[in-house]
Amino acid sequence: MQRITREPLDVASLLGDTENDTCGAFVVFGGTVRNHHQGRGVAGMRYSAYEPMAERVLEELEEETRRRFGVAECRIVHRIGELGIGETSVLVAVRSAHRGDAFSAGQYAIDTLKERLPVWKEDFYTDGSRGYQDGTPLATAGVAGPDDGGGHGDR
Amino acid sequence: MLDVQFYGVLEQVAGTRSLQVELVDDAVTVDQVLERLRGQVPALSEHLPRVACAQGDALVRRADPVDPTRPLVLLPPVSGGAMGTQEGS
Repeated sequence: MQRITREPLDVASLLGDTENDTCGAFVVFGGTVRNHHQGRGVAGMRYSAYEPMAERVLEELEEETRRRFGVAECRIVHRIGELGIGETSVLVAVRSAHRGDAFSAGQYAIDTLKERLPVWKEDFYTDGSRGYQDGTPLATAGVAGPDDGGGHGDR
Repeated sequence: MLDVQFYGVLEQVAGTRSLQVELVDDAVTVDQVLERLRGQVPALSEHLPRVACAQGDALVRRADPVDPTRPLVLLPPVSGGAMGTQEGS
């Protein structure tokens, strides 16, 4: 399945794709485009990705999250292209036997995504200007990122 | 010639999506390519310390040899997911 997409994200289809009778809980995290950033009005934004690597990072993060927290299902999708205010940029769905694991796994997945996924955000401000948001250096950058111990990219 | 590709803010700074860097010999490291790039596009200099590099679907380290048959992709600090952590999500 495609994890990086230009199409609008749909919570219902993500839940449908992850149905699992062994699970008694699901948690979904959704990130949406907000109308302000660091005190400036935002009218929209554009997400771009280095897709060959981004697809692999998400696939590996899903697997890592399932293994680390013992949850049955983890699925992550990220939208790219131009998005308007209120539109969904990312969805993380986790299903597990009990709710505690699902909450923990979902938080881990979105926090780790922000450190590893080669995706960039360009804000369109309400004053007509635009600019890339600063972010987190990836693991092999000259200045060490948060995952300098190895991470996904060393193979 | 090695194809070097830019993403995110680097595309804006370089003013192009990609450019060619001449390789003087086959045994060239990522670091050496970045050094040559610094000469070709001085505006990239301040960004390079925080840039990671990839070939294909995997990151490569600065000391790794470059595969001259595949583009070297320069990746600035990433900002995927929801909004920045400073303001909460």
